[in-house]
Amino acid sequence: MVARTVTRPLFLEGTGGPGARADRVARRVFLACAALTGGTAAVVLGVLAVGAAQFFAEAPAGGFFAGTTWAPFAEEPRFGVWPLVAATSRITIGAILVAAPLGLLSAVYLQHYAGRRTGAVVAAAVAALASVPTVVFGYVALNAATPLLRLVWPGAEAFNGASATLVVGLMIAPTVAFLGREALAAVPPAYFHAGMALGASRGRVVALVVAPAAARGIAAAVLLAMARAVGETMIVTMAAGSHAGLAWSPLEGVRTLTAFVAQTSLGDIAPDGPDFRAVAAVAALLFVVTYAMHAAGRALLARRPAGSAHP
Amino acid sequence: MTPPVAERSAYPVSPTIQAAAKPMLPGRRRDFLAGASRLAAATMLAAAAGLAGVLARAVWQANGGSADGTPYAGGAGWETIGPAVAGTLWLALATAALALPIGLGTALYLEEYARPKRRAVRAFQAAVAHLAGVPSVVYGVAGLVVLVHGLSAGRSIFAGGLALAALALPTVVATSAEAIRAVPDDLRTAAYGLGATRWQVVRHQVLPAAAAPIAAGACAAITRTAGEAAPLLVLGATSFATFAPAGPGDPLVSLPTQVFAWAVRPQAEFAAQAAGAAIALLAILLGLNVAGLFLRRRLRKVLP
Amino acid sequence: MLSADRLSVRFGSKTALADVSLDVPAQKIVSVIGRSACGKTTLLRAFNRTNEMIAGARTTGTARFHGTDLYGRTVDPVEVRRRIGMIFQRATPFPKSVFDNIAFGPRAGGFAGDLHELAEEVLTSAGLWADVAGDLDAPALALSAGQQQQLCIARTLAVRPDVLLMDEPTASLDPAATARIESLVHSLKATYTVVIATHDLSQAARLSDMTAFLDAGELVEYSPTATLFTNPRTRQAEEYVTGRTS
Ligand SMILES: Nc1ncnc2c1ncn2[C@@H]1O[C@H](COP(=O)(O)OP(=O)(O)OP(=O)(O)O)[C@@H](O)[C@H]1O
Ligand SMILES: [Mg+2]
Repeated sequence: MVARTVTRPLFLEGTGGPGARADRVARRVFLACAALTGGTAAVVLGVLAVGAAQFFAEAPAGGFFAGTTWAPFAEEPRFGVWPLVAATSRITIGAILVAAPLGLLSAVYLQHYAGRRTGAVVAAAVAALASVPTVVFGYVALNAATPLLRLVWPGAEAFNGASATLVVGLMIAPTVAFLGREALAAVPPAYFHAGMALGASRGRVVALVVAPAAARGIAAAVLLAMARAVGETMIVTMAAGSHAGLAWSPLEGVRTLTAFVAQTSLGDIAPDGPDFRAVAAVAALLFVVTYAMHAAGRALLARRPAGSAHP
Repeated sequence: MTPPVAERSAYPVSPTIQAAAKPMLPGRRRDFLAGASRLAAATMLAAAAGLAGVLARAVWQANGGSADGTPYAGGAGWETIGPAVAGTLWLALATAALALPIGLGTALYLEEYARPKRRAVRAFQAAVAHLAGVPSVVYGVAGLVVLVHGLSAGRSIFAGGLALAALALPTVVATSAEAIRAVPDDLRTAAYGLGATRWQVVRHQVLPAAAAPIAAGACAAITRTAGEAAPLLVLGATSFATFAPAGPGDPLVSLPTQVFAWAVRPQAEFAAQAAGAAIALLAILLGLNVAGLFLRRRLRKVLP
Repeated sequence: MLSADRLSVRFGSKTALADVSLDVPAQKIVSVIGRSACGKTTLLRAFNRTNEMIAGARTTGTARFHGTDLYGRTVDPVEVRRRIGMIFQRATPFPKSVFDNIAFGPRAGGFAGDLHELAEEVLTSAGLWADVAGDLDAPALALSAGQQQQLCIARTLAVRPDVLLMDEPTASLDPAATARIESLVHSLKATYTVVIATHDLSQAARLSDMTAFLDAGELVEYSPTATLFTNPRTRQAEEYVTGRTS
């Protein structure tokens, strides 16, 4: 052994040992990064808050939330957001009615029925659909879904809620499938084996044993997909039209919250004009709703399914 | 043939056992989920194939393959989508250059430097994570005010890149933080126990162990934002770019906004151009994804 | 040289170590014994300031090294860990090569000498040289559990601390490797001060000069090893070393 003295000089005090400088620099750099992230979030929030505050200084909040006419740029402007909210709700609910069965059944297929090869092919198709930009879905809605719809219902308008709803459903189905599969996969395999050992069919076991154990994750999948549908902009901007009325027929055009923001901002809007204030108010509403839905979905995911192997 | 149990046995056999001794039912029992789930999977396949078919058909028709044989004027050629391709590559580069280091740095600060159990840190983390659920069009509105008007950055690649980076940032922070949290604590304790500084532990233990999932999350965030049209539309992307942007100061042009601009025009030749641009966009995203895959493979090999 | 004065550690509301005061003389071997969960690991980790990485951990009282309070405001915990090395109960080789495992600590501490020479020296000390000499670039995780523990000992030696804290270093080793480690610990006495936590009473008796008996976080008895094992002052210690439980 190399001879060494036990009583080396002590340099415990201070932070001058090897590597200490680099450590201090790194800490500052990372703190700066965190500050930048926080700053970005604060700026986004601040812009919306200021714009919305200015909006409500002019238009009474009661008219905004209860009014049924949205005509912000008319001579006598009306700021009832209800038609936009109704359009967003209808498209979201319609889309999840398409996406939930499609996505969840695909998840069941991938997790419990698919062979290795076919499973890989289907999973690849789902992943591919998930990575398609929404503007491309918008193109499909306009150039494929609407023409097909008009073959069946010639009365459908060129811009209508139905084809947008259908395509938004297709767009969010991969999200449901992916998160749904994760939820199913998190259920301890013992549940599945125990059910099968009782002689039930695979379908019965999945539906009555596995799915209830994964209920939380499945609910989260549906909620998070719905949040995406609420925030979806391009498909509705391109295919659903810009008519902000309370249309009842899905074959007529409707205008969602997101479509209003995108279509209005397309024109050159100045940050001190009335159109910007209306856009900011609607964007703030979108922010609050989607943020809450995302937070709720994540909270559901964070809690482990009952009886999970890992506490 | 095996004789029934009752014949072989000298003892009386209960009715249940006799029932069990009946020959097994041939084939499978009816399974209602089997058909339904296969149908859903087939629908997914059909949707993916249909989407590709719609795009391919439009471009094929535009380039002379149409039934009447007359090619549309100005089919989906390179000269029309070239500037948009360049714009999208610039934007992806800007997003990667800004969102990746800042997002990773933020995640490292939150997970390794700040005490993660502290309430304020947890709250900050949650607040940022849920920003990932806010629609992209909202980022466009903020960008319009702050970048285009506030910073007078104009409708430039620079403004678009900043807006997309802000959009990608929460996702990068969330996926990086998750990857860092998955690194076992034993590894950290062992490294600290040997007298390593925090940065040495991060640099030599945490980052190598978390590199692959960090890269995966970053790659997903970049490809997702590269396909975004809404925030760029709100910022005011141009739809008539005649030259490819050569730097951050040039006018904002991109494939997604070009798909939109061409698709909403009623003339058929513009629909074909939109389809061409959409195919180019999908090809770029595929390329980015494949690059990310290789990067992850490499990271796994280089940093065991 | 190393001492604790009314040292307490709490994890949340749970007290893992309560008012422990003891003196570890230089160049001696001190063993720490006691039932599972009595606080052996916590005591060792308190000396190397690795408890503070556990969320919710709070340390009070003082621990001194050459008279300096290890928890003083101006003390750099990184330096503490370089001077007071620890070998953890569960071997945790880094998922890297054998050589990189050895090199990590010295590199972090700014070691300027020949790392290969150092690696050979510490691997020989830990009794692992013969097994790994052929391929220092082999992944550490490919070693057996016992070899991994030896590697962890070697990589702690490579930092050249003054004090070695060893938390059940032979719990996963075969008798031959255990004997090697024990003779290593014995030879280390010339240059190091060693604190070793162990469940193996005969090991404590064989190796150590002083023995501390902990029970439920409290230091029940701290005596010369011969005294504690043959003529303990406290009834609890007597019951523990004779195998009778109350
Ligand atoms: N990370 C932790 N978080 C909360 N409590 C802890 C933690 N580590 C230890 N404890 C608690 O502190 C007490 C002492 O634990 P310690 O690990 O020091 O015991 P030990 O004597 O080393 O036991 P063993 O012989 O099993 O290794 C135990 O009651 C334990 O539950
Ligand atoms: Mg222990």
